[in-house]
Amino acid sequence: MIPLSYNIRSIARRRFSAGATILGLAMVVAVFALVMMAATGVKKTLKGTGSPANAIFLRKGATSELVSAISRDGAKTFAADPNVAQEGGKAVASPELYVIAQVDRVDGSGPANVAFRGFTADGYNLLRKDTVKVVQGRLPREGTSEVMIGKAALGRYVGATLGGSIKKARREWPVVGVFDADGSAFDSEIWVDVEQLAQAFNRTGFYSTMTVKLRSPSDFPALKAVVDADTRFLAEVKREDDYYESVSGGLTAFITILGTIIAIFFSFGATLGAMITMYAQVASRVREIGTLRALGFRRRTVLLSFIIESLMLSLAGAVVGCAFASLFGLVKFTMVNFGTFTETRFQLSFGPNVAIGASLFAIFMGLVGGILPAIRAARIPIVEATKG
Amino acid sequence: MTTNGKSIVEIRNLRKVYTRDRQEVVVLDGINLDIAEGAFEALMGPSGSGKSTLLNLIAGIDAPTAGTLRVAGEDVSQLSEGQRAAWRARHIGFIFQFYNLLPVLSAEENVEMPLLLTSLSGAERKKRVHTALGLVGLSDRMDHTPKQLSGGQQQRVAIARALVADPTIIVADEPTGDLDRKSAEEVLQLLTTLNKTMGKTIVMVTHDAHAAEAATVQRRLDKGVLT
Ligand SMILES: Nc1ncnc2c1ncn2[C@@H]1O[C@H](COP(=O)(O)OP(=O)(O)OP(=O)(O)O)[C@@H](O)[C@H]1O
Ligand SMILES: [Mg+2]
Repeated sequence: MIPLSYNIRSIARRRFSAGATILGLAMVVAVFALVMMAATGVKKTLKGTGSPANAIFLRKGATSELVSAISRDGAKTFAADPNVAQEGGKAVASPELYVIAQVDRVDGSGPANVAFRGFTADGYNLLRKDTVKVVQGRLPREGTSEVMIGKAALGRYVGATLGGSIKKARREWPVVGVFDADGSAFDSEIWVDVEQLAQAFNRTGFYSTMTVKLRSPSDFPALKAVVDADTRFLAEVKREDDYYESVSGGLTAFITILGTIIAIFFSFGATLGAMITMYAQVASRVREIGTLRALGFRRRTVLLSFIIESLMLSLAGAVVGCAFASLFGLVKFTMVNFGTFTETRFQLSFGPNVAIGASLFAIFMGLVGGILPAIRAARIPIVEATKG
Repeated sequence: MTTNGKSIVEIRNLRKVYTRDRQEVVVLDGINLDIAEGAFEALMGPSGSGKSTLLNLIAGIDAPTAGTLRVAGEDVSQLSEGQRAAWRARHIGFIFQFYNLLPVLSAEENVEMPLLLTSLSGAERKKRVHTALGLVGLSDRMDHTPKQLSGGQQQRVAIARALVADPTIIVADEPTGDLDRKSAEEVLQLLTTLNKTMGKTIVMVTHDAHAAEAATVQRRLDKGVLT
């Protein structure tokens, strides 16, 4: 084994080219890490919107709340199912109406699709209260057009301030409260009494979905069996967290694919840079390599040594790139969620999976960039290399 | 000279031919040579006569075109690339004209390199390295890198590296070729000591008749033939 200190000091001896190479690799690693952070952030936001202890009823085949409908009879029937938790003689169930409307942005950049969610007082008090907390003002009163808005929507749209009023569907919707749903997708929504929303948007007679608390998370299969067997209401039931995750699938895939294409594109440059640097290292160390071989170090030992050296460059790039990307760990960004076509606020999230993924990517670049120069090093003829 | 009559190098009908532009250049033409264990031989001859080529063949870093070559009891030309590397590590100590130390390593680390191919422990390696550097009179320069040493000192580090793993043969190609008179003298003195007191077999290529006098046997190579 050729000592690693030999590689480290050889890199240090040509600081400038090594530094430039590391920066190039770091840039690609950072792009890659940011993509992963965005994808992880989207997943986390949407998955965090649901809980495995809850189940959501949708129309059979509906892929999102937007295209879902549940009749009021159906909602009543399923809420009474024994697998649904009860509290004080009432089913822990929140029938909700989900409507998307265009609201002008405050910054003048035109209208955005914003989700309005109609809710019931019982549904809120029994099911949503713990995760959707009113942090400013108060809850909207039943039978009025009062709304409360999520903290990510606060100040984003015209009228979306506490004490302000949003104009939509020939109505004024006064904002009486602001809620915090702990970074989930609810935070980008506007919540209002379900009956008022239904009237304003002509959606009476139906809910979009109904979310219930399971008596116990293990009761889900039993509930699903009941719903699947029922042919009257054409409904289906999913675990709430699974549902929200599947809604994020398209968006996560989009970010991942687009980002990966960008990262791969850049990685050609960085890999080529690493390769050029390593070729230069080999060329300027021909005599050293020949001497090592004469002393009895094998071809494969020399090969390995240069691959390790290339990996050192790429791992340094990974560290710098990840450090840079982690600075963006608290940045929030807004994107249209393809599942619901609404604007949703996500947060970049740097975690061990990002660090590991980015490092693997860097290792890959180091291997690809280092292999050919290392092969050249291993093939250097000893006699020519060792003489003056 | 402490030869015991046993040959450590046995060369029979050795040929080395280079083909360049479809033209054959015969560098060595039917060489026969025996070198006894414990000998200190000097190989002289005009430039281009094939001295280095012969030395490289003995040292197992080049392969012959024809003939047999037994060195340290092994038919070197029959060994695979990997086997030859292991064989060199075990049997050959190299001294080059331009020292060929690794520039980023200290004298101590340079001398330790051949020992990394043995199974010696770190402590054992250190002990041997210090002994070798003491022998060449550089105990106080262990932490110096080659750049911080004079040419003569670098060559002495290289000699320490060549002997540290206790090889069967030390090969030296123009070891004084790049040195001033005084440093050259020191190097020759060291080689003589290695040969006389430690019984090392040494094969040295040199241009310099004075340097050749340090050896116990002088041979001449001319136009590919030993005389
Ligand atoms: N790779 C090669 N291809 C073709 N010819 C070569 C090659 N290596 C050496 N030669 C030729 O072989 C001959 C002997 O070379 P060698 O280096 O052994 O000479 P030398 O006696 O050591 O000379 P010097 O005293 O100048 O070092 C020279 O004519 C040289 O041109
Ligand atoms: Mg020569």
